[in-house]
Amino acid sequence: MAAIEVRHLYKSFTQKGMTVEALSDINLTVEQGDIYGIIGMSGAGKSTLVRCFNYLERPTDGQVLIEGRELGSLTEKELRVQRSEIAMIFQNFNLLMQKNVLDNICFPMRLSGKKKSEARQRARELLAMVGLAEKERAYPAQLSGGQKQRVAIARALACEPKILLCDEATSALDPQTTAAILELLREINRSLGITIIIITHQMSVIREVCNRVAIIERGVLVENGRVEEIFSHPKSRAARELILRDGPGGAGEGDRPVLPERMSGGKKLRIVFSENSAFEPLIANMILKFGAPVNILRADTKNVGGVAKGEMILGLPEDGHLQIDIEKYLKEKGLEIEEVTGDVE
Amino acid sequence: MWNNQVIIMLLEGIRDTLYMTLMSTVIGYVIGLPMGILLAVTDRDGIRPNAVIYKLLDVTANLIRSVPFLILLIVLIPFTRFVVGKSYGPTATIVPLVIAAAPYIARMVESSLKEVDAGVIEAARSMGASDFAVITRVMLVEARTSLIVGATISLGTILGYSAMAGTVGGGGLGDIAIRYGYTRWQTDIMVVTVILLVILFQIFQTAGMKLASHLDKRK
Ligand SMILES: Nc1ncnc2c1ncn2[C@@H]1O[C@H](COP(=O)(O)OP(=O)(O)OP(=O)(O)O)[C@@H](O)[C@H]1O
Ligand SMILES: [Mg+2]
Repeated sequence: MAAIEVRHLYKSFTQKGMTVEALSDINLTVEQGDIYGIIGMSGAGKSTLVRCFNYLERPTDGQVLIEGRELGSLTEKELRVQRSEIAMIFQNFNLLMQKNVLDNICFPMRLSGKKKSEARQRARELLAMVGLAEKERAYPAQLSGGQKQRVAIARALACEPKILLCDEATSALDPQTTAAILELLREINRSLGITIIIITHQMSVIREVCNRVAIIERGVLVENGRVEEIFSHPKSRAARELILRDGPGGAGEGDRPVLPERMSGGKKLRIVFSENSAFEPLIANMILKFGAPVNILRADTKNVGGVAKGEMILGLPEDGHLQIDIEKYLKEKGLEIEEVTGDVE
Repeated sequence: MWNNQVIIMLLEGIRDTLYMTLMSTVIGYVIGLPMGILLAVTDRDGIRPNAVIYKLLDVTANLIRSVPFLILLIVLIPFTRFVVGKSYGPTATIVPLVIAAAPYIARMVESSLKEVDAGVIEAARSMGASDFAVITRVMLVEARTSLIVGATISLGTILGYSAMAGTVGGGGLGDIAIRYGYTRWQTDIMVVTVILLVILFQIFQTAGMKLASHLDKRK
């Protein structure tokens, strides 16, 4: 059974007579064990969407099913129990500032009625798991961002959730810390089998850890599917834009790629290689064959779901016939090509 | 004039002032704390918005707070007599003090609770916390520094009010200051009572602020 199923979900906010359609007709399915990414620009509706997953936000219309149970049909009390099985972590960590690390982790367990001594023991185990055993007496204000997020993760795991929702959990962290936190999430997914939802506006985060992704634009789900698939063949404009903005290298190295040259004018092709070895000889041969220069506007390899993918954007010569020949040549070599339109930066 | 009698009178004044101030603060909180919590919770951006309850408490608090204390004191005389049996002396003064202090305290509590980070409340709710748990285990705990500062300020204000009640025979140091300083022109005794009031005020402030900062773990 699907961990989360969303059917025809709508959410609108009314403020001072103005209605904002934050989400419209969202449909998606998150399978058990997925690391499911939800990506979109600021204001796209990502937070609203995950907050519907545990009914912190009540949808205006549509259904949310958690392991087949429709949240809308639950009573207030049942809903609270259900929520305790869906943990959540946040961009701003949201730890209790007046409680020390240990008591923060104990908090959800105490809420659900666990005895203090048992809660403490479990909290210590979790703290060791996230690598902060020596900080149990510290207060959040004395921790770094990465450490706070580790505490938040330990707290999220305290009640043995089946699902972990992460709303921009790494957005306030530097690249190294981001990578470490993502690694921890992957580890949690692998060893505990917890389904993870990751909300982000950084494609690099999706690429590093997610197996599936949904792209949200202005409240509409424009594309979703397997991460490799979307990286190789993005269908929507939003997806292509996000992939282009995704910098080379590891997660969190910023949103902006270092372009050798600003892309403008002329015809541009985007090529995706599954194997790096095919990379250089092919382009070199092509240049030799046509005796015309092509501009490599961008080339890098990305780790997509553990598979190395090469991506290259070529700026073609002005000559129209030559362009057609080059496209034909690349297709013959069995490459997926696609025209990149617009001024990209 | 600094005979035993005067010293005893001053000591009794201190005792009465402390009695009125502390009792009124405690009872004021018994009423004002729940009222402040309700105000924070039922406000538009509270955890359980309720326009009717909010408006009702809001208007009540504003109404009482807009009446100058001295006038409230006099207006309440029949009510005070009904509750305590007489309208003068320290115990009687507690009645108007509480009525004046409760809405003041409620506002203090309301503003302290509103300072609590919405994200932390959301985190607690995502763990399945009920509204009651959010209030008692998150809001009141996270706001405790601010609540103690508020209590310290309230205590100071009530101390001032208790002295004002002296003008109508309320007892305590204020009463002495009025009787000797104003009625009998014995300025020295008045000065001493004023100094004693200032010292009491300072002690409350220092103790309150120390406690607040001791309990603050945000630094
Ligand atoms: N409580 C609310 N009241 C009114 N409008 C809201 C509310 N919450 C969200 N919105 C609106 O809904 C839209 C989506 O907001 P949301 O916070 O879900 O975006 P987001 O994708 O998470 O953005 P960000 O990346 O900036 O966090 C925005 O236009 C926002 O203004
Ligand atoms: Mg958001």
